[in-house]
Amino acid sequence: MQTEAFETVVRESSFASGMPRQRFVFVPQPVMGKSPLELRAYVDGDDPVTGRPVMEEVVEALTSPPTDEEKQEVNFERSTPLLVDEDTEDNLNRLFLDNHWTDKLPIVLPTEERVEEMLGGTSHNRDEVVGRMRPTSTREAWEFTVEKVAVNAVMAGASPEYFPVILALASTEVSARASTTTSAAAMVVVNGPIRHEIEMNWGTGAMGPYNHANATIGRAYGLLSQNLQGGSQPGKTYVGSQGNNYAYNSITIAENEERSPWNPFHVQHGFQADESVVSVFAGCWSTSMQLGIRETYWREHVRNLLRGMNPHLPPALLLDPITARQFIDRGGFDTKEKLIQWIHENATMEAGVYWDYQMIQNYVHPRAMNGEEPFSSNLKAKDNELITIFRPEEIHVVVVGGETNGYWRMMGCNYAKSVSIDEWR
Amino acid sequence: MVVMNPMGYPPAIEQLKMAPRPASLEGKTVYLIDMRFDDGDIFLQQMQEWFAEHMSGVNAVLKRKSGVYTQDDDALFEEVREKGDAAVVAIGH
Repeated sequence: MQTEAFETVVRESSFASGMPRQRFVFVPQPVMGKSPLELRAYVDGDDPVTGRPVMEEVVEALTSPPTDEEKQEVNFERSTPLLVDEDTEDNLNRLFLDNHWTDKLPIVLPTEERVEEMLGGTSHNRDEVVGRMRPTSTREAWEFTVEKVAVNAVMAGASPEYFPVILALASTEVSARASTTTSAAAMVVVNGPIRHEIEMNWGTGAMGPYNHANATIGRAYGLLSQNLQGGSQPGKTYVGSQGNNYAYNSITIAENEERSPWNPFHVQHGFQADESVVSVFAGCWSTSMQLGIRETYWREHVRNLLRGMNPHLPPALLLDPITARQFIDRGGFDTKEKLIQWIHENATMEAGVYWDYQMIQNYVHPRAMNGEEPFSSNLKAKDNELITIFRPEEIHVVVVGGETNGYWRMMGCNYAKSVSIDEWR
Repeated sequence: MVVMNPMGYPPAIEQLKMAPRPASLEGKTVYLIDMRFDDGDIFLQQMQEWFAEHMSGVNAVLKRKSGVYTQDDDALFEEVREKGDAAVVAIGH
């Protein structure tokens, strides 16, 4: 059973799972927040899709034998041709828009010549399988090659020298077009020498929109995600209720390693400083911001920021170098790890309030019920008992910015993985 | 003008057969499985009450699956296979 808002999504998903005749019954949207009385009215009422009584449909779906149509074998033949039918430039641009192959901004049409030039940015064979990607863990994964990544990189306006970064991003198999009602976006952090080679921005205006590499690598990550995973179309393969403007560029930045007082992000994650690495965060949604770290009440200010985050989306601190040094001056955090530990200890909430968050109910409560720590112990806490809401391993720190001021922000997101860019050169 | 197709390669799909249906639910066990999405348990409680009121010969068993809604609950699904005659999985939204 589903709510009416998901009719197309569930039928498509069932088809791809080999159940093209799956029987569904629909009720109105939303279920969340409705009283028992209101939900009883859903049960007693009509299916908004068919207009028939819900329970009549439920009983019928459970008891009527499969019809001839339901028993019929379905043709699942699907393929992706190498080329699009020849046409004029205007018509092809319209086709790409109509097929939902773009982010609705103008693209560079991927001619064979342009794709060939992009392929020159890597030593890898065009037919090599890079990976598989899916919009969400419950949907089918589509496969893609180096060539397919190149097609999308061309569309985004990227230069061939960026291609190893884009291939590395594709190889993470983490979609920047996740189909979740959360409307989550991705975030990309590049470390190592390649930042200089392709002239990325980690200083003034690094988070956009002032750098060609940052802009087009991030856009390529979004386009390749939606096309290589089999689509990202609202109501069909995308269900983010509000959408997310971050998704245009997947918040693609380089870390300001030169002005950071701490180890670079990729070194924290086991790479050598002279390796080029790209790191991906998923679930980017909530942000909170601050100017500087004040002498007297900085602890209270930071705690207020942490309370403003959704407790299901742990913070990645994006610190201007000025702020990074202030954290050392004020708090003595001479490593990122010490700052992370402080954040962990000071991000607290009354247990009753924490467990009542809808996302905590959806995603954390089931894990607590399965005995997973620290959630299981937190579930035993009294309602007014303060519990920590973010684990140290979920909290991250990246230094970015040009020191025009000490502004900084927390991005609520989940670190996914870091991969070598050098392996895709 | 000739350009390249940007889409990836879809996996093969193997069609699954539909499960056989009981002719009637009278005397049968129907599992109502809450997938743990946003108050789905409250919705299914109403459905369980509907069965008690309108089809009292049906044993409507309400179960919350373990884990988050994206994960299978193998133990519960096995229980449904062994002890159930039908199942309603709800509610996606």
